[in-house]
Amino acid sequence: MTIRPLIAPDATATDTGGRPPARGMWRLAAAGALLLASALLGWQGGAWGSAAALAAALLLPWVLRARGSAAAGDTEGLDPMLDMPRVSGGRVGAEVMVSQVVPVWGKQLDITREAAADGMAKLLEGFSLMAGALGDLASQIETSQVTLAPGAVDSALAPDSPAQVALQALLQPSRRAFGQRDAAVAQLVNCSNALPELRQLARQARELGKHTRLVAFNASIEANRGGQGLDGGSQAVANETRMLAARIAEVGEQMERVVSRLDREMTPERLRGEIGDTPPDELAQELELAARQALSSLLGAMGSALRSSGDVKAAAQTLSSQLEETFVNFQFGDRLAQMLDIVARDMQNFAHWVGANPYATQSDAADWLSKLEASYTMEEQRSQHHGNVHIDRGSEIEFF
Amino acid sequence: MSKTVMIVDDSGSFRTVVKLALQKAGYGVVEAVDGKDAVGKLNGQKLNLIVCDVNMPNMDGLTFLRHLKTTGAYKFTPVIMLTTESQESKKAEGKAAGARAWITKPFQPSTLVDAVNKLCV
Repeated sequence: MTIRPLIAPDATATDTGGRPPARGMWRLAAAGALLLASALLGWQGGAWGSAAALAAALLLPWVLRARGSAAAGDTEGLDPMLDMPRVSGGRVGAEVMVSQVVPVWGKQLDITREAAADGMAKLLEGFSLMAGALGDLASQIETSQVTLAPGAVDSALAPDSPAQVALQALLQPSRRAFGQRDAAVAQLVNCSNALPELRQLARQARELGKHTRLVAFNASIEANRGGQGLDGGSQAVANETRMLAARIAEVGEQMERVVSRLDREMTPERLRGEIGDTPPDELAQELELAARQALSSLLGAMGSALRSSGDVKAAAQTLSSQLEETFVNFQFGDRLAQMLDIVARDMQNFAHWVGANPYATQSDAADWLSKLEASYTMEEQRSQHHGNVHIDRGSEIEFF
Repeated sequence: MSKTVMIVDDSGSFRTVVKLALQKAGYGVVEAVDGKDAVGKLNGQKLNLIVCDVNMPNMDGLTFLRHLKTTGAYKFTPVIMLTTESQESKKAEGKAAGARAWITKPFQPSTLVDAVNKLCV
């Protein structure tokens, strides 16, 4: 909205309402000359003096009417946008001017204040939402960051922690395999303990074969000694018995060789040596250590990935603090709106007062200034009232 | 359950700044545009703290504070005065009326939240 300025009162005072200014001046000069002439002639007396005085008396009302019209033209120079009433005669008093002009300024101040307040509220809300979003982002990054500070892995693997439970589940199949292996070794050791008995049985089988062959040989001798020749059937039995004895002896020898080989390969010491010198508990510990190292490497990789997120977090925090500072600066806009409101009210009060007190004195002015000062709520208002430089001390908090 | 703070200020933008700062810190907020509006909104509801301006139309902050201290349910509710007024005489009035802290505008939202955290019952 464009505000058209008032035409300066000094400029309107010389306006003669459409008549050329020179013509008014001539009438004023003629009236002055007539008055001077009539006064001189009247003082000297005579008919000429009386005639001049009469002419002056007739011309003076015309001259003065012409001046009155010129004076009435003073109000015609005011801007019609201000909706000023036109005064048909006489000068407009200061109280009339103030009472009609100041409210217009007041309305403009009101519009400005309301616009400033509305704009400020919208800006603040927008910035506040941005600050909130940034704060949420920073806090999300903060809570998701994994640090590798000393003891971080121990902390992550605390008893009953989810990571510890997961680790135990990971180790469980390996531990079960260790148990099964140990059981198998124990069984093999038990088997190896039976080898000497088996060797003894093999020797007995070999001895049994020798004895059987000897029995078959003796039976054959005894049969021949009695003069009796072996018939076909007996000879066949003797032969089969010898062959059986030979086989028994051979199986016994083979069993003994196998047992000897097993005995060499399945000694408990050798069995335990084959599975290594590491006790099962130590193996489990090694496994757990390997799992922790794997976890540490994983956390390290995550940490380096999140270090870039840390930069984002720092940027978000910086931006958030800058936004907070912006909130503070926006509050000065609100103070501006408040000060405009105060000035508008003071102007209105001043206009009313001047309307009721057209003949103000210096004392009244001092009284007004004193009341104004007493009504201030801000330190800068008090400073500016006396023309001092206001030093902003920023926000202050005082606990009672 | 979050704590509730009442904001009493005739400036909408100040109420917005205070409300958003406190909500971000986890507080519930009730707004009032001046002392008279605040009295009408007390309604026996649980308030853990009140943030109040001083210079307001209808009922100013100090008058509201004095009224509050005569109301049984809110007699011990802590009040922080948040105002452009920095005159020592006004601060003394606030202290005498029962205010627990005096913050001069413009203020840092974090400063206000710290004070609320400290005084909130």
